[in-house]
Amino acid sequence: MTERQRLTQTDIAALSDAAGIALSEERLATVTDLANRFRDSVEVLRDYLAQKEKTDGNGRP
Amino acid sequence: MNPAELSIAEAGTRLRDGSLTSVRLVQACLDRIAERDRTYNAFVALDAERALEAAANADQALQNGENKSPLYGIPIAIKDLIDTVGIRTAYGSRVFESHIPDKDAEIVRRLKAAGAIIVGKLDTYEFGMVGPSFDRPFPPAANPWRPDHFTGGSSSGSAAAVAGGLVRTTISSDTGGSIRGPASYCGVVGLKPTYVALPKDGACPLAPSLDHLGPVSATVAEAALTFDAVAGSPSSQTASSKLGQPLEGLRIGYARNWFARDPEIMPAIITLIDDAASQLSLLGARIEEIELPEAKLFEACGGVIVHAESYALHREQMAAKGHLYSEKTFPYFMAGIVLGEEDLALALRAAKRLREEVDSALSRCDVLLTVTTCTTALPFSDFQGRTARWTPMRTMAFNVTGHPALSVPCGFVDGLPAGLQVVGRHGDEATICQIGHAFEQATDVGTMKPTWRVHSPA
Repeated sequence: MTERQRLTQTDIAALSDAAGIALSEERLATVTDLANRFRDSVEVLRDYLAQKEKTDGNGRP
Repeated sequence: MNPAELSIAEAGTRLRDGSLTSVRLVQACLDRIAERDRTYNAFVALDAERALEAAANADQALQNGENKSPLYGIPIAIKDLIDTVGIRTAYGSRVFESHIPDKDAEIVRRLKAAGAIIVGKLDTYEFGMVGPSFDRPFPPAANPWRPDHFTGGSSSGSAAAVAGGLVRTTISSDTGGSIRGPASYCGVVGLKPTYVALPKDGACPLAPSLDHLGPVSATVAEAALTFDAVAGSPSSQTASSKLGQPLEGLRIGYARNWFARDPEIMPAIITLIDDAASQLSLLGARIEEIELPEAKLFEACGGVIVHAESYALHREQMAAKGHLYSEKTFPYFMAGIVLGEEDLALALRAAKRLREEVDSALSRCDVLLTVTTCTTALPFSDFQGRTARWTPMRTMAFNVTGHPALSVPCGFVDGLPAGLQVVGRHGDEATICQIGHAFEQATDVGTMKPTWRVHSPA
């Protein structure tokens, strides 16, 4: 899987502030953990599609 | 025999020959609910008075020979994510604790048009997301096989109500396994139809690209009848059209490696599915092992779609009422904040490719056979923390691809049920129901019912 920088609690707090959604300290830790898992899933899919496109050999999107 | 224990077909025959009335049938279900639901917590709202009134009207119509629909005069219950006019519909959340819709969901409208009697609303995980949660207005539904165990979700009340003998059939919803998972854990039948086979207007969306409505029912035949009553397209093949047909010549692709290599699967469940494959072979089907893309790809794809779409749906509501969400649910909606439109587009592209791969597998066989849940139901004590715990299943894949999938009870491990899953080609509910029904008829698993007793919490 492609390496990527982990999201921190500071990153998530900034995003939630910008969205106007209050996030308690207790919830922040769980949300950050889940957010990183979701970003990892995106990378799994990116790798899958890249592999499929390579297998196709025709650049099919 | 208590009328609540009659199958829909048996009750229908008696309603039409005059040996049973809909009022008596509905009252039998209401009595069951009054007796047992303090233990099962399946129902979050009842509509007894209007149900009995509708039943009396159905009896009058039946006496006049006015309607022959299989669901005419039959009691049914609806998952609390689906709007029902005049009955509180809270979507399992404190946010909507006082919400009473002024319009029926389209699927409820169709049920009523078919003469079904709505008796009440069934517990759901909050907005269909995660659970069981213990900080909602409703206690979590309990598994009738062992009431200190969970039912799975999010159609928790649906599976508990059917397994507990409160109703024979329900309408529920499934975004990642919410019909099939609880059906497996509770020893009942769950049918997730083809994507968009049933109308979703008036159902609370979780992730529109993956949301499906469908029945949780006592038997395959009853699930098929329920589906047919609301499917609404007279030109399409009905789900019940092949019930009772022999399996000779059918090719079943057994996706064994897809679940048997999961380190979390209970070995006894692998044995149950192997035995089911053997049983289907004895019934004349040809079984061939088949490979599918790794389960983690479907899970990743479904996860990104669910969380991107559900965050977009809940963003404004979380800003205004986030404090009303349960502790377990809120983070799952909120964490979708890191998924943008380009991530959703990528996941939808992956979903299309995964669907093509499953279509390719289904071009070499008529159906796929696999497991529904990799474990039996877990005790509530395993879910006491603030964060949700996921249980391994093989259901999300077919929300991602939209193929119809049926969970049928296939046996027990230490007294708790487990389900097999049959997956068909798009639009072919008939063949998966044919196979599920044949398996059900050939074994005694579906006839086993939990013993009713008042449960005393430890």
